[in-house]
Amino acid sequence: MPGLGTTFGRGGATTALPDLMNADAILIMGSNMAENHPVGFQWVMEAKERGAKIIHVDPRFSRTSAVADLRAPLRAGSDVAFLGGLVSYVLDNGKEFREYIVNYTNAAILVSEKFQDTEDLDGLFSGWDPKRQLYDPQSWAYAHCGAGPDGEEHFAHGGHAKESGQITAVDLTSCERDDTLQHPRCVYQILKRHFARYTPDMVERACGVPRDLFLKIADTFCSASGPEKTAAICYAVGWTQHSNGVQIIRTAAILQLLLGNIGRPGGGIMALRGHASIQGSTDIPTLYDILPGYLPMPKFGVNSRDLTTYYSKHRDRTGWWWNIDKYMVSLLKAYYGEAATKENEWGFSWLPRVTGDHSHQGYFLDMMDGKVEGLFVMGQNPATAGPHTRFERKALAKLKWLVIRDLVELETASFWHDSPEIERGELRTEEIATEVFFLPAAGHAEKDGCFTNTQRLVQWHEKAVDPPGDAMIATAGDEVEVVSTVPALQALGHGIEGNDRVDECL
Amino acid sequence: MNVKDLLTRWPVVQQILTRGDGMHADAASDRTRNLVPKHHGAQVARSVCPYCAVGCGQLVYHKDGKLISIEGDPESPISRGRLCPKGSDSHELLTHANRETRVKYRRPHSTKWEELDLETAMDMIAQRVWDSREHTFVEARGGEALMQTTAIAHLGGATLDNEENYLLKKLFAGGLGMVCISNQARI
Repeated sequence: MPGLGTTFGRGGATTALPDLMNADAILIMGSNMAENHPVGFQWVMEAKERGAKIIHVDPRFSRTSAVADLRAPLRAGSDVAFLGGLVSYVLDNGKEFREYIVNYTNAAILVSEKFQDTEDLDGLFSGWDPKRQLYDPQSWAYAHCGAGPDGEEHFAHGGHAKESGQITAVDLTSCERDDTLQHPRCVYQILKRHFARYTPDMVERACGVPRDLFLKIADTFCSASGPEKTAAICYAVGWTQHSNGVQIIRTAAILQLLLGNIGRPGGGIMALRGHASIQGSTDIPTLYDILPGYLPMPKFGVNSRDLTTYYSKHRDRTGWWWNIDKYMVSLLKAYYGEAATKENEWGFSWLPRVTGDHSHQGYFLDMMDGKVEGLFVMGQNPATAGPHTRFERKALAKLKWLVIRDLVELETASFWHDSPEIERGELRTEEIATEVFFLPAAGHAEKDGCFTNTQRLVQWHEKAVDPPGDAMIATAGDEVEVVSTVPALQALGHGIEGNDRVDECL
Repeated sequence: MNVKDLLTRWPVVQQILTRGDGMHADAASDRTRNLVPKHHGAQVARSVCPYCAVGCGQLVYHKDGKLISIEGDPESPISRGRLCPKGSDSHELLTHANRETRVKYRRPHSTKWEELDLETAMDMIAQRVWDSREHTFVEARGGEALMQTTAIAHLGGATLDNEENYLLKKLFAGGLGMVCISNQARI
C-alpha cells in the first residue's frame, strides 16, 4: 500500500476491474491473473476482444501468458529494472503526455538545490546518515514553497500513514515551477537524469528480456497511451511480496503518471489483492501504526503530546489531509462516545502510544524473548504462513496464553502437539506451558458484514444461516452482541469497573 | 393409480395414441417427472465470495436453517454471475466434515484437548486478558501519556469483515491499550 499511498495519497487501486475493458493495452506483471483472479480476468479478455493488447511480463509461463499478445520472461526480482526501462523509454522518446504531467503532476516543480542524486553520490541520495543507516529527507524537498502556519518553511511529503512526522506537505500551487520542463532542477529533468541508465541494453542484462522484445513491449504500451488512449497495469503478490515491492509499485506509478494513465477510463493501476478484504483491513485497519482512515497512531515522543502537536505533524495544506482534525475528532467520538469532550481533547490521551515496531514480525521477536504473554489469532495461521515459521512456532511456545478463532484446527492451534519441532524433539509437549483456547468461528454466509474488495468496493454479505455449535459472530453494529462474542470485550462486561477509560469504550 | 392410468404411461401406448416418438416426456418415470432442483423452495441470501479480493457476488440458498448451495449472482457488476472453481466450492468451506464447532481447551503442559463450554471459556479468556493487561499496562512515561501494553498481541486474517476489524481495533487499542495489533494485510 505505501507505493500507491505515497504517489496518490491513498494506498489503493486507482481503477475498477470492469474499467479494464476500456483499456487499449494492459500490462500484467507479478500476477497470474487468469488463474488467481479468474473472474476479474473476464474484463481483461473483454478488453482483448475489443482490440486491446495484453502484455504479460513474468518469470513463469502461465495461463495468463497463454492468452497474452506479448509475453516476456523476466529474471525474478528485476521488476524495477524493467519498469525503469519503460520510464526511460518514455522520457527519451518524448512519449509522455505533456499537457497532463504539467497540469496534474509535480513534474514542473523545482526541487531544492541541496538535492543530489545517486549518480552524484555513488549510489546514495543526499541526506544519508551512515551512523543511523537512515535518510534525512530534508534535502529532497521542493525549493521555495510558501511558509507554513508556524512560520517555518515546510516540505512536501505524502504518505501511507504519514508516519515520518518529520516533514509536512506544502501547498503545491505556491511552489516555484517551470512549465516548459526545461529547468535542470524540475522534477521532470531530475527523473530523466535518474532513469537515464535504464537503457534497453541494461534491461536485457538485468532482466534477461531480449532488447528487441523489450522495445516492442515499450512501443506497444506507449502507443496505447496518450490523449486518445489509455493503458492499465495489473499487479499482485508477485510485486508486493518482494522486499522492494514498494519501489516496484512506485516505479509503475511514475510510469502511469508520465503517460497520463491515471484517473482516466481504461487507465490506472489495478492492485490485485489476495484476500476478500485485504484492502478493508488497511482502510479500517487492524494494524499497529494506523487508525481507521489512515490516521496515524500517536507515536510517543513524536506527535503524541497533545492534539495540537499531532495535527501540526500531519496536516497537509492541500487535499483531504487538511481536514485531519475533523477525521480525528470524529473517530475519537466514535470510540469514546459522550466521554470524549473538548476539555479532555476528545480522549486523545487515552489512545495507546506507539513506541517501536509492533508489527507481526516485530512482536514475534518480543514473543521469543518472553515479553508477550497473550496472543489472539483470528483468521490467520502464523505457524505456516509467517515469514520464518519455525521461529514463530517456537515463539508461540513462550506464550502464557493463546486464543485462536478459526473454522478448523489449524497448525497455529496444534503447534504444541503436532509440529515439526515436536517431531524433531526441539519442543516437548509436556514442557510447553502455553494455555490454548480454540474458538470455532462463523463463516461468511453465517454472519452479516461487509468486505472491501480489490478496487475498494464495499460489499455487504447477508447472513443466511446460524453458525453451527459454539461458532461465533463478531460483527454488526450491535455492540451488545459483540460483548458476548469478542472474548476480550467480555472482560469489560465482567465487573471491571474502576477504569473509566474502558467503561467509556463500551 | 388405476390400470388405465398405468397403461397410458407406457411409451408404446403413448406412441399409438399421440403419435409421439416414445422418448422424453413419453418415457419419463414418476421420479423424473417429480424431480425439482435442490434449492426448490429455498430462501436466498446475497453474499460475497470469501476467497480472493475480486469480490464476486454469491447467492446463498438455504432452507430450514441449512445451507443448500452457493451460486454466482448474475446481478453482480464485478462477476456477472460467474464464480471460479474455489468460489463455486465455498459451500463446502462451511459444510465440510472437519469444521470445528465446539470450544477446545488445552491446559498448560497438557498433552490433550479438553472440552469446555463457551461461557466458561469466555470468562477464562477475559480473566487472562485482564491479568496480563493489569500488570503490564504503562500509563505514562516521563510525564507524557503512554497508555500502552505490549504484552498482549493480535493477529488477524484479511477475511475478517470491516465491522470486525473496526471493533477489534477499537477494543484492543482504544480500550485495552494494546499496540501489538497486526493483520496479514501488512506487506
